[in-house]
Amino acid sequence: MNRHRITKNFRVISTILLIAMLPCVLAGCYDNREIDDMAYVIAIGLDKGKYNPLKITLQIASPIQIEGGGGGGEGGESSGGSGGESPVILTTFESPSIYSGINVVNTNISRQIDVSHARAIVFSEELAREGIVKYIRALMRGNDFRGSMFVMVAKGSAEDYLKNVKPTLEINPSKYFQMLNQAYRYTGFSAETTLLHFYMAMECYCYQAVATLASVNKFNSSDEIDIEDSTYKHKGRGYPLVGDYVAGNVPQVGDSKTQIMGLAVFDGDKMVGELDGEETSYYLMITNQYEHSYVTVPDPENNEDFILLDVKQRRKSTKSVKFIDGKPHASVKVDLEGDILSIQSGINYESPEKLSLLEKHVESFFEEGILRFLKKTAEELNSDICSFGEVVRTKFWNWNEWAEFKWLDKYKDTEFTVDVSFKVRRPGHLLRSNEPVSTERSKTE
Amino acid sequence: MSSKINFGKWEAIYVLVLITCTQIFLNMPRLVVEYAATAGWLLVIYVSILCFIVLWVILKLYKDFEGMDLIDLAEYLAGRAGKIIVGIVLSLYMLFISFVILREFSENMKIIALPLSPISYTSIFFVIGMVVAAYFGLEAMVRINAIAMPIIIISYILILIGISDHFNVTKLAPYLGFGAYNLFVENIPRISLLSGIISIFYMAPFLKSYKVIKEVGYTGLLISAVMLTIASLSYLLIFTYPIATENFLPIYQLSRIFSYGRFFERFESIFLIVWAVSAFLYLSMISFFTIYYIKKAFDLEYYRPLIIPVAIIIFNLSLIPPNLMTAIELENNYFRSYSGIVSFVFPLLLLLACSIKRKLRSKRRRKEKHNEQA
Amino acid sequence: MSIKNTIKKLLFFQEPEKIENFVINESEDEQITDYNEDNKQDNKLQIDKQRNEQNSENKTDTENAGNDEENKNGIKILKSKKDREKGKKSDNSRAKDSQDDEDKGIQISNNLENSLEYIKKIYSVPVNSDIVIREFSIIVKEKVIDAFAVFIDGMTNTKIVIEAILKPLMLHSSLEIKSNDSNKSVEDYIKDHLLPQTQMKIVRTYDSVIDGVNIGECGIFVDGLNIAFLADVKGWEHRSVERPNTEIIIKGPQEGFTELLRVNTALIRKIIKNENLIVESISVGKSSKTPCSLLYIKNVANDSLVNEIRNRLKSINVEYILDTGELEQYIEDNTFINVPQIIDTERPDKVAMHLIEGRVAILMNGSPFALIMPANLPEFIKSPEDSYIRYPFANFLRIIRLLAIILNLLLPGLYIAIINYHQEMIPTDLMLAIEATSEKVPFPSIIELLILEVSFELIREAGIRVPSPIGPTLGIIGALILGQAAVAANIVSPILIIIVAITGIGSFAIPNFSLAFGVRIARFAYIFLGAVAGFLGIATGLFINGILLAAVKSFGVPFLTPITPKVSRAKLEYIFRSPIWKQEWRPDYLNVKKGRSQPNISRGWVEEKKNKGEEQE
Repeated sequence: MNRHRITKNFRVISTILLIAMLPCVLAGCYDNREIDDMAYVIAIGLDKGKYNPLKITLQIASPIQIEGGGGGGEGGESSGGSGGESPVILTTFESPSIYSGINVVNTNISRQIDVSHARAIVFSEELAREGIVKYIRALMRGNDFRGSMFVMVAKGSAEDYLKNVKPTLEINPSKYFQMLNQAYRYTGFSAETTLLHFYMAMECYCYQAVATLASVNKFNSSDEIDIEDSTYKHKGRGYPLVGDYVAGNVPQVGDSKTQIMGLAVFDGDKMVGELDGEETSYYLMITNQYEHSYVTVPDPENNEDFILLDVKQRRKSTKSVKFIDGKPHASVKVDLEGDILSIQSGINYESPEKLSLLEKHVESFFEEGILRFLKKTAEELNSDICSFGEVVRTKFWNWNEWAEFKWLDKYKDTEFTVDVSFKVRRPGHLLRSNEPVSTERSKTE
Repeated sequence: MSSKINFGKWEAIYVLVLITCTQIFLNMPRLVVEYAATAGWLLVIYVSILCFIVLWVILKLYKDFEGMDLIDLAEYLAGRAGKIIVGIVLSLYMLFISFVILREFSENMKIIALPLSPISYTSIFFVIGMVVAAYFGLEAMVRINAIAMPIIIISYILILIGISDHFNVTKLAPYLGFGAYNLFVENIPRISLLSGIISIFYMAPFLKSYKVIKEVGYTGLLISAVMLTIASLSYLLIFTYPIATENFLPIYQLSRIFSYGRFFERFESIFLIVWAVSAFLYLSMISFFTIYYIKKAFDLEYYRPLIIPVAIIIFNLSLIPPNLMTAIELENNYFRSYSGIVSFVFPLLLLLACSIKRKLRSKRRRKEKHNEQA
Repeated sequence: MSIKNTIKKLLFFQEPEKIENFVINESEDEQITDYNEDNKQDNKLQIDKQRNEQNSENKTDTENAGNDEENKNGIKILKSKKDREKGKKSDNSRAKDSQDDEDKGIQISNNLENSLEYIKKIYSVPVNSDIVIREFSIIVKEKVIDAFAVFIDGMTNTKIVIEAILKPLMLHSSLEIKSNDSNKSVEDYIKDHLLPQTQMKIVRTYDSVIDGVNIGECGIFVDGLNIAFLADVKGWEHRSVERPNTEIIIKGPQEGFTELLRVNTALIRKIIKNENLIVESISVGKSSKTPCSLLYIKNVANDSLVNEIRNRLKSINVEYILDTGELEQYIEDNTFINVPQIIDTERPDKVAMHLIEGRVAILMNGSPFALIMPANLPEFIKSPEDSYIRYPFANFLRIIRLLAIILNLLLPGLYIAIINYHQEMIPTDLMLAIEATSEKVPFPSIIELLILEVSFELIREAGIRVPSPIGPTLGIIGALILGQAAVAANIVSPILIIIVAITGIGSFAIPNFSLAFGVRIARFAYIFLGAVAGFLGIATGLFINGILLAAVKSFGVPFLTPITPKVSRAKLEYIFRSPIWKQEWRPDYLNVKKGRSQPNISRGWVEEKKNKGEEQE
């Protein structure tokens, strides 16, 4: 019998090997998923199904097409990207709930569905009016759905909307949603409605949730454009300004058929109404999300022309609420400043006397608009989306008292006062406007 | 393994901070909101002040016994029997917390990163880390801790800076939560939130001088209190009261909000590395102290044979709770409620008893001297 | 029986051997645990004063070989009570041993014929063709005496042999030589007047003569004398002093060590022109009898450290040692750890810098690499150029090097972890692009990565041995065309090429060769862990790696000093270097005798300016 001399070396190596084999022996690498075994969802659409509670539409990214599109687009072309093939795949199916639906998709799509890159979730208006809390809860509980997804409500059906989303300037549809939903920073026509904020607003005692309105464009060619559905009539104006529309009615046609404008207002988890573009910018101003946008104001002295301003928010707006005889009186102070972009009438508003006139006119324009907007939220919609409740809450010291106070029920009796302060800062490059010289003019003089 | 190991002041402080603050990554912010609604952060401050007072009393009594840890004190008090009893109590205490925390961290990893793996798979990594660290001894663990803790603290502060524009002070209203009575009186047992301070007694034999132990105690308590307050405050500034009690992993949810542009969007998995390292440090430290106390209580000569059995016991115990909710319930209802007794009341009583005994002894000696002289 | 033993050893607990780990002894004054900087500065100044006073009274162990009383006084201050007796005994016995070695062996006989026969037998002279035995006669005081010289051809400088040994003994001995004492012995006469040699030894045993001749000295036997003379006439062929091959810097001296021991020690003496620099000579290896030198600065290096190293060197019991690489493996603490615990360098200025800081160096004949110990992790990241270039650049380069180490270690592992487990982390655009390219590749990502990593290592290993005309071109070809071809053949995806390339470049940026090896090995462990459990695996790897590093000690100094345990001064010295006029203290963990290396204000002109300014006001 041979006597082996077992060295310490051997012992160490064998223990290391045994330990190293342990994870493999446990048949490890469970979650090891190859990146090309997954299908990544970009957007989810939820409709009311005919036979099942839900009709789910998934917009899935197709990387081969994206890559082919990217290669084809390198030649300097910017539109028509991928040579006819779409960078996304759409699939629609009916199912009782979100997760079972995602399972069903795999009867059709070959890869495992991964929602961690999903950017937007689109509810149809019908579904939103019925209440969406069960779906929102499912989304919040899952690890894959992220709180930064955008919540949108489609006027019409979500399936139509997603079908028509064909990004023209992007190869990657995910970027399209991202850029679109952040456009509120310079247009003022939508707001930041991420899933996390929506959920927190839904469950909070002090304010209510909003979602971005999206829709397929009603018009197919520029001849069809009309202003029938604009809200300018309600506002007592003779003509529509650019913000007086809701998604779907905006007088615009183009290669891309979808548009967003306005917000859907929720009471709890049910949709109760809409805000058009102008009201959305007032909402942004009051909730301090407003960055800047172009505003058109009728000229104070000349009713046919307009003055274009680039308005920014100068300071955070302040809200306060007082209770008189049990009725809440809310007041808002908004500070704005702006640059003059264009004076169509040629009147010299840059001079100090006329400037204060212009400023006062703009201030009253905004005050009227904001007051109208706040009244609408209180009387028509009964939904405190501007979070006055937060101000009320600071008056309480005990949570139980606050919970019993039920602010949201009292909101509809609120009286509002608005104070807007507007200052013109810069007139652009022109400090003074002069009249064009023409033969007509000299004849009249 | 005896008196040759010596630690610096800052290494001991970091150990203290580690043991007290690892619960931030698990359940603490949510618990605090559950107890005191929107005044959770006030609760933490209040509890730290209470703990400060208790620590002052304990350290004052400790003055005569510098360099002794709880088991030595028990030996002084009651001889061999006392040593064994106290040793068993303390090691069971640490065994309990280590298996609960192991289970919670494994579930943590499972939910965040590895949803399909069986729970034993994720636990095995932690157990292997524990075994290796215990094998190499306390010195290596404390040194690695002293390097890793500043990194963990800095990364935590980075998360907070990154999400700071979502902070909204009005979310803290109503400021007193469920009311002043509830906040200040009913929540006194919540001092168990800071029960990690008992680890100052683990470090005592390695720290030698009383002055150093005092500094370590107060500085460690201060830093832990600040970290816990910041944690609960930042959690409350973003999630208001009813919603805040719903999240299983508060700090993870906070890091999910972190996003800058299109690039830095979903970076919370990077923080996962930091949390996993802090979990490793915590678990290896606690299991090492279990082993060390068993060795000390029974006067064994070597601690290395105990490492693998204790690791296997912890691993198996951690698989006992049938689901995550039971594990959390175990931690909250039993540990966080009653650990205050073991951490604060128990050393206090022990020290009182020891100082009484010492006074009696010195009186006796004085009497004897008197008798001799007379 | 043996299988049972194996299983027993694997599963059951083995009592550890009771080895006392080596700890660098501090003096009793140094054991202050409160790192209060102001207090310690004052204390340190006092301690330095005390030490200097004591040092002038003390002598080192090697000088006090047999003197017990002085040892008691000298060692008492430097060692703690426990080690005093141990140290005294062992040091004394060690010193005595070295003396005894010289006296072992057969004594030389008076008779020349016997010596001649013995030497011929030992060296197998007719068979061994390069041993030269030259017999001649000397005239001493009008007597003709026979003598012979033995040396090895090729190892000696024949000119010197002729000029300085044969000529004077054969020719000049007949000249009249004036001397004071006419009754001098023959031996003294020859030594004092007839052998104009710089180094001349008188030996009594044949073994010493043989050792000497083997190195290249010339042994001279004279009839009637029972001693022999050993003349140092070494003259072997060697490489001249050239640029160092491995550590290339841009700004700084460009000399590197060669294979000759004396040339190397001369290079260091050229830099440290100080009488306190001790070059101790030790011989290692039974057959090769390689001479080694132990270098340290007497009034700076800690005595217990020097004794420990000397002890380890002397206790090596092997047949031959060829290179300092082998020597390093014999004396290091931990063989199986992947990081080196001894710094090896080819540059004399780096050795000098470390010696001045308080470390100890070993040089060996036949190897151009010097060993420096103790070593700790931040030292491996420093390049010798760091002190020669200006403060902003030095710190910038250090950051880049740190980044290189981190990239080399973690990048492939992180890539696998992200791609396979944490896909949500990647920005959507990038991810879709990666997915599109991964479509075409048939392998799973980890196999791709392993293919690329292994081929990179192969190319690296092959590139060392490729004949030089093709060498550089192969590098370029390998990088561009092979990589491009692999992508076009759909074997790998393009992003992996970038990852592997960055990783490889990172490993070249690590200044120390051995550490680069260590990091390269650890990288594969991280790849495996990342593939098995994503970020949890990476975290496990980081933790275990950290524990291993924290537990390693290099000659009593923990490997991670000064990161932890923290030392009192120089808070971030391990990453950033402070301006050179601020580097006032030697590293504390080496427990050096003279702590301060610069006074508070080391730039005298700054003080002058201040004084002038005050006068003007």
